[in-house]
Amino acid sequence: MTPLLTVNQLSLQFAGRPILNALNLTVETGQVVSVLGSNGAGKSTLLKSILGLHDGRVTQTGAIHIAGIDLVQARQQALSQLAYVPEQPAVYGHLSAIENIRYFLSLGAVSQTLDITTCLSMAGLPEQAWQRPCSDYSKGMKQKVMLALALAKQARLLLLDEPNSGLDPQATEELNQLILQCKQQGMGVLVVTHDVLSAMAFSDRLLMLANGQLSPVNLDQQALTLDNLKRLYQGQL
Amino acid sequence: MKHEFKLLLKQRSMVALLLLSLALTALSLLNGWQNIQHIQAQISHAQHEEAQRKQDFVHLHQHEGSLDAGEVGYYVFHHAYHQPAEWSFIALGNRLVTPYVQRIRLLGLQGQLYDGESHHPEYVMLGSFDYAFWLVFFSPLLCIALLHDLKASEHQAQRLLFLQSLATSPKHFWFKRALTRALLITATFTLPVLLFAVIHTLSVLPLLQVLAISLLYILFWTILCAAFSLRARALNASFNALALASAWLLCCVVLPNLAQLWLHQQFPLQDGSQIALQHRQLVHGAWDLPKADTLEPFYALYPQWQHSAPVTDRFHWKWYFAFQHMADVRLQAQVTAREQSLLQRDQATQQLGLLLPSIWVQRSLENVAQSNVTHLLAHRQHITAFHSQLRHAIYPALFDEKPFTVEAFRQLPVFDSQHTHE
Repeated sequence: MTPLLTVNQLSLQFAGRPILNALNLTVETGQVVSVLGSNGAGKSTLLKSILGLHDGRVTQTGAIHIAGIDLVQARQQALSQLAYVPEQPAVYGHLSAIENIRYFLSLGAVSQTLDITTCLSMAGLPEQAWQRPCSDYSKGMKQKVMLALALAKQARLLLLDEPNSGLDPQATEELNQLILQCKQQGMGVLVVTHDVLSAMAFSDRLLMLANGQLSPVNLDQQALTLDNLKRLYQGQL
Repeated sequence: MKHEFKLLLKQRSMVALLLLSLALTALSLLNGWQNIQHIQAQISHAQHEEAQRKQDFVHLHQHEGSLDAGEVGYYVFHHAYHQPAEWSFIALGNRLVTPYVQRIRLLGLQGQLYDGESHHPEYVMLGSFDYAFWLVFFSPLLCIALLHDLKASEHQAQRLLFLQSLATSPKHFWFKRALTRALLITATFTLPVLLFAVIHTLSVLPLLQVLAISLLYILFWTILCAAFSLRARALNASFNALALASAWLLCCVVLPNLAQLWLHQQFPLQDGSQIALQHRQLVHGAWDLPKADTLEPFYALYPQWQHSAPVTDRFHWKWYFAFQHMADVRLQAQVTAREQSLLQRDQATQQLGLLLPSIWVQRSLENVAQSNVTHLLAHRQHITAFHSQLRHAIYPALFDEKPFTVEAFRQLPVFDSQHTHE
């Protein structure tokens, strides 16, 4: 089966400074992969590369395929297969959840979409909030809107950037459940995060980005101490 | 596009801004319209008053069915009307600073024409709140308000990457977003004009011209604002707003004023009141000159009356009107030079309009409104021609010393106020 995401020998330089160095990554159907890394390691740069959004100031080599579609050759077709959820959920505060999703769907060349209310329901957003302006929403609720959008556009690959930052434990737990729900529906999920505990809860594979390359992290919950975390981020574990 | 409109119009502040612009456009049209209505009411009143006054003159001054030609020339005022065109309300231009009813009699014309040539400083400083003023100065500000943060606002809301990842084509996405805003801005300026034209059943061609001028001007500012706010590093909304506001200040205030200063230096213009003053001095001086000094050059111009009876009394109307006439003749070169300078300034302004859109719009709308320098000069030419007709009607009775019949009085030319707009 074709992987939902294949990053092959991806190297990237910004102003002559190497950020990513011959990086390889695959995300299979129904798999959750989490990428950890210290600040400035290049996690967001990696996401930007997968979204094909670097400008001319960046030199990039290597290949990226989304559901087997080459990102360079067929950018739109490739991007229609994925949904991206930024760290700060990007909803418009003056629109309701339904209006937001309707607007975002209008931007892309999505041929078939699921019913928006069904998706909001699946994402766990309370029905009484659907018509309210999103400016009243908590961050967790906004994230549910973004996940509902991913469901509505029938994305096969989900990219999450720091999904748990700023969420309380209950909201974090709800989000973790949603990620697992997406996984069960056969979506591939790539999560970029600092939250090791959550990542361990929902990830099939845990990767550490350091020196422009990804390496697997083998850590069980019992070994999750502050010292171990420090060593992990310093590349000593 | 439908979704972009919805996104924009769901913002209360945006709707308030657009409604305010719509209301002020309507107000600018109403203000222009009321000014023109006032001018027309004054003209109508003056026409009625002129007819009545002429009738009264006949009653008071006739003696056995005839009048004194000198008294007719001196006491009877004729009105020269600067009738507004159908679309003059769109750009009042020179209309508020030049008389729309000018009282003319047979005396020297230049003294009368330039007597009121001292512009009301308030009007000259501020301009008038008409559509041209509103469009030239405020449509760019509305463009800046709606377009300066196209990218920056999304970047600041941390939505930029997300939107770009969703859009089929980022270029197409930004184009649609800028176009939506430009269309709404255009609507707030053109819809009231369109409605106004329908309500008052105004001519279509000037309407199309006004709409095209507005469209092109808003398009210019839209392209400028969109190009600036969509460039790769345009991620600071405050900086964008400041830079674009500076461009507005430069294009709409600083450069046109500098251009005006340059024009004034390049094509100096004698003040109209100076011409009026010189005319008065020539007329006053003539009282002390030997009568032959006035009449000989006059008869050289009008040899048909050179055999007119010599003036032996201390005063005679024909001598009086001859020195009024000769003052006009002596000032003719200055008047022509002044008009030439005005035309040169106008032509230079036209060329500047190719570089400065604000000047181009102002001039183009004044052309539609027929309130520009060319029309002002045409109106003056028309008054000159009318004054000439008066001379030709009264001089024969004056210099042949024949009675001026009431019938001839009733046949005196009347200023054709529609002539200028034909």
